Amino acid sequence: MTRGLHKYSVYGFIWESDLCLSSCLIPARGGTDVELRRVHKLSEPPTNCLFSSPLIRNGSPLLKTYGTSEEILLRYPGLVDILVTPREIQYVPETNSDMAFIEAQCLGPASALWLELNNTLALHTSAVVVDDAAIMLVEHSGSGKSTLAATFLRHQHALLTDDILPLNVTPHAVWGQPGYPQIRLLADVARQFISGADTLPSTHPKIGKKMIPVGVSGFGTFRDRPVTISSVYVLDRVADDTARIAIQDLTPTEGLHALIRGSSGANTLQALGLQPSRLPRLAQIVETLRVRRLTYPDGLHHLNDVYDAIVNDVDTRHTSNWH
Amino acid sequence: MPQIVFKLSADILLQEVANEMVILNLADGQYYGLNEIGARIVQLMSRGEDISSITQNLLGEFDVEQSVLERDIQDLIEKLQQHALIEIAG
Repeated sequence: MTRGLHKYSVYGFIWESDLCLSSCLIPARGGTDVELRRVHKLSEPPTNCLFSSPLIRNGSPLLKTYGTSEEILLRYPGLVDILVTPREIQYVPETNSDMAFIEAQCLGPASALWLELNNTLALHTSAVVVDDAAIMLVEHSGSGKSTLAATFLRHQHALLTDDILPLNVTPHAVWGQPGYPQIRLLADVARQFISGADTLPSTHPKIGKKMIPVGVSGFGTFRDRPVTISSVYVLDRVADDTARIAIQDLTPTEGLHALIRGSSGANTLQALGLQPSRLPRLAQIVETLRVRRLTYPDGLHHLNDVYDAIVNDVDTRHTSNWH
Repeated sequence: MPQIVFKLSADILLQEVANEMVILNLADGQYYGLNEIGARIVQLMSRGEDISSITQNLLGEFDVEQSVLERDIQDLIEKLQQHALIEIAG
């Protein structure tokens, strides 16, 4: 190993990095698949803008994406530039940048793009292991994926990922690779699951989620090996406190739409022209797995009932497989 | 209308999924879903079949009345044209 570099296993690949990642990543040996390293300046970064985030920070988009199908620049103005190529990820922090923020972006959006450049589907999702397979919790940010995943951890289920899920699609199964042992919850939600949440670092100093270690000496357990995926639950959390918990099949086209929406950096993938090659694999996932819409009322006090409903639904799948 | 042949716009991509179909408009990134009959109509359109031929094909494949089918085909064509997903060939 090069002096000062650390090797980790993340997303089914071996990463070598100078970032001392706070996420308790799993140490690894062997050949490096991707390097993640700091540089002082990017040489000739791409300049054609692909996407600007609608989120505004200090008068600028929180994220602007530039690039081609060979290299992509994620620019977080005032915070960090991250360049993703098929072989490496380079980052240039601004002065006094928050390293937790940089880590979150490198392990999240930048990693997802790196996976996609290497022909691996990467969905932004939470996934937990129920019985012998994992279930995916899919929808946009803020839909309750992490909170629901935390509920599963509290009920002794292992976390597969709470950020990016790389998927390998085979003719008869879909395999999910483990992410990294961390779950991210808003501070007020995190306090409901663990003690001392306020002392943990955040993904962003002001608007971020708490980065909670999972596994050894952390919260819950982590699944560090690939596992087949059994079902996809598309979350539909409604504000009505009296809403009934319901789980229903989606049509194939609705299921495919949900997976397209759940793709990390969907707008960037679209702009890069990568969606056409992804669609047949996403369609195969829809044809292989059960894709269900989970409607449930907002509120932490409903989570145990939502958990029961999902576990019963998974049990039904097992029962129906036997008849 | 019966003899008219429509062709798919150059900027669209079709993806079949379990007998249904998603159309991706590469020009604007929008996705559209089609049920089984809609998917079959677009599939036949993409082979250059005229509307009359598409209608006859579908009458043989689905349990549907001709008047209902013709109205459904007309509605779908209007929607596809509205979103610039098809155009008249030639």
